[in-house]
Amino acid sequence: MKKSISVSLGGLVFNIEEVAYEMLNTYLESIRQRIPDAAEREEVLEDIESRIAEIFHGLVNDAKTVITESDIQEVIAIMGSPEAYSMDDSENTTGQAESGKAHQTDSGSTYRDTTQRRLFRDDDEGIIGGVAAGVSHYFGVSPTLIRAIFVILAIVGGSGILIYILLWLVVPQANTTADKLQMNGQHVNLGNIKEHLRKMKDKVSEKANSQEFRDKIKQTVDKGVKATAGIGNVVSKLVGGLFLLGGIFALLILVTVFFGETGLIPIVGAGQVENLATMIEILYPGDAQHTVIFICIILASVIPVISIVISGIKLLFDIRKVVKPMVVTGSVLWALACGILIITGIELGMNFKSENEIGYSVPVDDDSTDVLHVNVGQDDVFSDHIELSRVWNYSELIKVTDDKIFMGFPNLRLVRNRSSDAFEILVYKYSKGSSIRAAVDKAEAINYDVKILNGELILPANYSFPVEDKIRGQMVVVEIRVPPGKKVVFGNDIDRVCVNVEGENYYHPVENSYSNTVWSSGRDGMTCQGCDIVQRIDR
Amino acid sequence: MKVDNIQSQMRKGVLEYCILLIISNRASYPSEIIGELRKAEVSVVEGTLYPLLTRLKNAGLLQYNWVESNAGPPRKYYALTESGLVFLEELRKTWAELAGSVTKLKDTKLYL
Repeated sequence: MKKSISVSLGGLVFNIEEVAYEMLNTYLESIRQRIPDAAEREEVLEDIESRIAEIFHGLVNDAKTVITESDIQEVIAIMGSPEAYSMDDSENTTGQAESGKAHQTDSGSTYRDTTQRRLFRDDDEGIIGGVAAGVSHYFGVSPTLIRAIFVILAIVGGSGILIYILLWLVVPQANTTADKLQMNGQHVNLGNIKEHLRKMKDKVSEKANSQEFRDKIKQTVDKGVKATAGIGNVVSKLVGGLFLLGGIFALLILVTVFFGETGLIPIVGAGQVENLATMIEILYPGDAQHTVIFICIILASVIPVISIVISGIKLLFDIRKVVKPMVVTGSVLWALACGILIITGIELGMNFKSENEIGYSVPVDDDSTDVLHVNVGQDDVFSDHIELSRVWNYSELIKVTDDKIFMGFPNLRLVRNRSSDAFEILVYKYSKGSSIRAAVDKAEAINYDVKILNGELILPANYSFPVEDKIRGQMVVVEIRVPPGKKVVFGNDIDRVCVNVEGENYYHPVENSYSNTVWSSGRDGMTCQGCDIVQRIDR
Repeated sequence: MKVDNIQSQMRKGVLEYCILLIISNRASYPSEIIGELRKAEVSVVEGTLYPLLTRLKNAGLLQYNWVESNAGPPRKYYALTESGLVFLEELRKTWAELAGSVTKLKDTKLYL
């Protein structure tokens, strides 16, 4: 049993099967889209409907009263495919090259030519997945050029491989003849229309809702689509392009951050930056989770970017296919990764809960000395070219070896000694931890040996702690208490520690350098001798 | 540069001339015109005809009369207008020239 509808065509009434009606409707609609001039369009369609009525009239008789699908196919065979109605030869004699464009109609709306090129993968001419061959068909360039671009992108940061895989997943393969024709921007023949209608038939028969309701929706959608198609197409291409470019750029950066030399990224700077895997290792507690967290960070950041790239590709090349399993898997993975990161993040935060400081006193050989020379020892861990004022973030000052974490720029505090007439040198070690006990243990484990050699205090340029301790805000501060009337002389390399002088009144001309300066303890605090006074800072 | 592209353009170019020729013999309705074209082995589907006829009509080269038909709805019988006749004469000349030129070129052997 098939449902049939009664239609009026050219002044005559016919009974037509629902599926056949849809087919005819699509046929007339696609003809409508091919006639740009509005007045001409109506007249031509009237003529066509009239002629179809005539054909129908010849088909029905007492025994056969309903127009079927095969009748419509016969009509289309007589009348010709919608392409036959195109009269664009007067404006457009270049034919094929132009046929991919949307044509502007008089009423201001645009329609899409079904002869438009579409992006498919071409397995016949492809080498791996036919992506490059497909893209080359779409843009009408040599596949070798596209392959070269992929290879270059693959070498620079590896994004070419990712993009290739993405396109492989997203872009449908050209299976049918119609696909292949569309891929090359050629006219689609009757076969394609049939295929299209067959699909539509399945859809229609699936829904057994009320006819009116469906008609209404169809009309509304048709109108909406037509009205917005013009602006929509341009905007969606634009947005698609932006998504694609932005996404690829983000992917490039992410891939470099995750797997490569971070030094490649200009904004991060010097080569001391440890990579993400190491950062996780020295930050997160426990050992087993590191890989999990690494993967979670990658998933949590890459999945949104990839989805942006995919939607960009879809918008740009007008692909409507939705790979549902991929979307579901992606969403679930992303949610999972975010959940794990939040939980481990809270756990990580708990590890910074408590804080402790331990102070050690360093004996000074000669209590009666008037002048204390202070300098920084040779740095065998960090580059000599690091300057604190140029350090972009502290990750540049972290170096990890098999068993130790090294950190640069310990602090030096120069203060007056109010309680004694002798120099006092104190080394403070700070750390945080999940408990006071843990913080104390970690502070104690910090290795920082100051030495006094021939009356000169030598501060190491870096401090270290066991790699198992993780980074828990460990810090070293050396405090030199200078008795009144006595002096401290800084050596050439003093800027390799972070100097802080009590009551410092002077701003130093050469990039805040304390190199070779002399400081004496007075009533107002520490004063510099021989510093060029550039600016007085009022406290 | 594809051969079927050129071919279809050549066909399109002479199609209007062919249609006007048929109509100049006697007033005809579209499926009749198709029949004549087929007889003359001009391969064309009806779809191509309707927009073309409408255009020629709008250009004032054709006019039509409604004629009742017992095989369905009334039919449009197209006939040439005065300017249609002039237009046809122009096309006739152009065709003669073109055909003459092509024949000459085909028969001339070029020695370089």
